[in-house]
Amino acid sequence: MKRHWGRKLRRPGRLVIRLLPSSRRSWGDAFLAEMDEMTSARTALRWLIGGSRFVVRGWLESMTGGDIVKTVLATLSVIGGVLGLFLIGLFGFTEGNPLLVLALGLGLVIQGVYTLAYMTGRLETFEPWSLRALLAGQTIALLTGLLGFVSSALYNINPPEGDYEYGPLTVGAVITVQAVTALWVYALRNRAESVQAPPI
Amino acid sequence: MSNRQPSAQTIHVLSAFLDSPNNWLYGYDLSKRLGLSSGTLYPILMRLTDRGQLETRWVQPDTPGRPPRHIYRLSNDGRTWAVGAVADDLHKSRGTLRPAEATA
Repeated sequence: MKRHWGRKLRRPGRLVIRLLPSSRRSWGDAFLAEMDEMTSARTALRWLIGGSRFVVRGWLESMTGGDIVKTVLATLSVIGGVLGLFLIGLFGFTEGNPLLVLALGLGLVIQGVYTLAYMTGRLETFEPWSLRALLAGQTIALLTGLLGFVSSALYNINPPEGDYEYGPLTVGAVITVQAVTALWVYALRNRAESVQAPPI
Repeated sequence: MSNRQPSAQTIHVLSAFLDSPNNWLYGYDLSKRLGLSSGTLYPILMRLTDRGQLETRWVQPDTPGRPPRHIYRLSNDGRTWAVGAVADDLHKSRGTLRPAEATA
């Protein structure tokens, strides 16, 4: 008897399509329904992975409305969040790491999750405080990231015993770029747009 | 409607629909026939549907216990547009002008 791998993999697929905006959910159902025709695990898995691409795209579009800078910000937030989880894991599962690794990991996760939550409109009920908190948080992140980046860069100019530090440099860069992009979108650009808006 | 030239993959999809303009097609069958991944095919189907170039329908499968499937075919407007788009692509790939352009 043939195993219906497509049917089995439809279950994890249902979790993936939850990321789609509600207006696109029926497309997710249509996409998953096709998996019932697939008996091969490889075909079903390829179908699911391919579909994940359009789901992620749909999720990004629902957040950014196709705005390229917002897309960059959402992508950076995801990268930052993943990097943060990695640092937390590094601190938890390996020995000899300073507490700073945990603090940076937590900071990256909070920065990424808060930014994504704000972009998806989940914090709308708390406006204007949610925006103020975003801007304050990103300003602190910018200063912290810059400090980390510059101090690591200076350290790497002449490292003791040739021990270069690329980890803090990378983390500092990710935090800084994400903060600059968020401040640009939600502080500078929003202000410019409100100045240009015609009077009602 | 966008005036941009459709992508090569979109042209493939349109050609498949034009091969059997009155038939409803399944997403998986299209994917197999054209060798397109689901991640490429579905955004194209969604875009064409949004622009009114494709009609969609849900159908109940013959086998009980299976979920309804989505099927697609060109709308009347979509058919006219697809014929033009595929012809444009053909002429461009041959480096020739379409008759209307040649006589203009």
